[in-house]
Amino acid sequence: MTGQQNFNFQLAIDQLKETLDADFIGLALVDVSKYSYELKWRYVAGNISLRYRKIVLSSGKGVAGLVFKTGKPIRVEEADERIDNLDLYNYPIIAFEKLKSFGAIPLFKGDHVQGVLLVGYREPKKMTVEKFEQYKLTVGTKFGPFHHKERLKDDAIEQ
Amino acid sequence: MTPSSSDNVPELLQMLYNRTTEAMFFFGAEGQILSMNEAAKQIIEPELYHKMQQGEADSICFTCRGYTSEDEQMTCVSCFMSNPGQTLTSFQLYLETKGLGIVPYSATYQVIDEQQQISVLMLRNLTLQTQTQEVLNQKLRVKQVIQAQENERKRISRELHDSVAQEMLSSLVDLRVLKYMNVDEDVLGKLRQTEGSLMRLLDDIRHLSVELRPAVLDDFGLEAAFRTHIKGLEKNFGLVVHFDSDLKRSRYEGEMETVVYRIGQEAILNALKYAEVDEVFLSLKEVQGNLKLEVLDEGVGFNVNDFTPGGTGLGLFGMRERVELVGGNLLIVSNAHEGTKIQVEIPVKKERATSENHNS
Repeated sequence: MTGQQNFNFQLAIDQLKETLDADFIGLALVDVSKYSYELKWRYVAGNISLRYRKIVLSSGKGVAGLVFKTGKPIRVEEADERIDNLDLYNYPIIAFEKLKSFGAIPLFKGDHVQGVLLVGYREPKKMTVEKFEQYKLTVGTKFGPFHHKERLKDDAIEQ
Repeated sequence: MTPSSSDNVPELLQMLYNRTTEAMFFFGAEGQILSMNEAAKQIIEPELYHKMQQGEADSICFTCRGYTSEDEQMTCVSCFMSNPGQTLTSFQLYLETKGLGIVPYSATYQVIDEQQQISVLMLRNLTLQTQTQEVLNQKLRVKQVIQAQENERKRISRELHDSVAQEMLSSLVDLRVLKYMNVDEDVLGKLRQTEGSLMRLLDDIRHLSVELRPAVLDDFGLEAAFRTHIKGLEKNFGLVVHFDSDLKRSRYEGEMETVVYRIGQEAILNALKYAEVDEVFLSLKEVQGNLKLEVLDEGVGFNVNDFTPGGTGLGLFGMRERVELVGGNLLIVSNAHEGTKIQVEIPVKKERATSENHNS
């Protein structure tokens, strides 16, 4: 994990948890040092289960997978409404950690998403638009070796 | 025909009319009801019966819900009554009946007096036969659907594994070669990123292929297939499956392996979705000529006889159908807060008349 060790991720997410008054924060990173290129939850705060450790996130699946693939943030104010109960098992972290309201943003290195930062609440309607803005503002444009940005390239293609 | 017997005819007919279980209606030229027998009275709502007795035109329409044509189950298009001259034998007619709702009848419509245009409609209850036919049809359809689905999955899975993944692997190798050529640092960084996404893509494709139908099942049998599946579950959902296998042979007949694998898969998925557990126990045994699969969880459970499915309810239905296809037995034991046990027993046949080759 070159360049990742110099930055104390655990401290950073602990602080973020306090600032945002969040119940859960997870940071998923691609481990580039290994050959596997696996995306896993590497740092968490406020977790109630250890199941996250076993999970290898696949691109395009689950919250982290979607953010990772699209490079776009996701905000869900009420999980029960947005995610069908039937489909909940496809969002393991939301299910185990019993999150009812959450937001996730991509972390970039160069043009590529290398991590996903998830902030969650165990009560619905907590991740409001304002909260999400505050969250993005708190993280700022730089998070350790990563930078956070709104991906403009895709938007240009879509238009 | 002897005179004595023909003397008897009116009497016999009267008896038939009164006692038969077939409902009979006599109609006049306007479709008004001239007479109905006892059996007809039995199936019609009393209110409607009185209305119909008053001889209104086309009063049968109060109770008739249409007949079965080639296009529709119940239709009034070109109604049999609209063309009084014609005689129709044996068609299916639906009536709204007393207490039983809409019931199918095998009907015969005949003109018995051309001059006065008197006709008779006779109805025979078809409920039982229709139900039998429907169950039979459904089973046949389900079997065909399941087989078609398995074959299609196998085809796509092979295609992905053999051609798409292979091609991707060779581009990956090319890319790695490129890394060792004389390129500057910028290009190298970009190459690494591309390599990373290609590897993930390759993983995704392999994953998709296995999910559709694991080649391991066809090549190495049940035990290996379950082990692969369990590894995947742990990676994707963090679910731990304790697998205990004690099989007398490594391979079983193809269709049977598919059934056992699919049921195991479905049962574990159910536990994952609804039982609210992170541990499942799976066991595979051969006991007294029966292959036995057991999936156990210590989760929330449900009332087997009376429950509203959390999902479509098709999963359990599908399991039952699959087991029936190979002449096996499915047992579901569960109680609220006491976990769930799914048990499947399938007789291991030495030879099957319709043995299917897996690799065909």
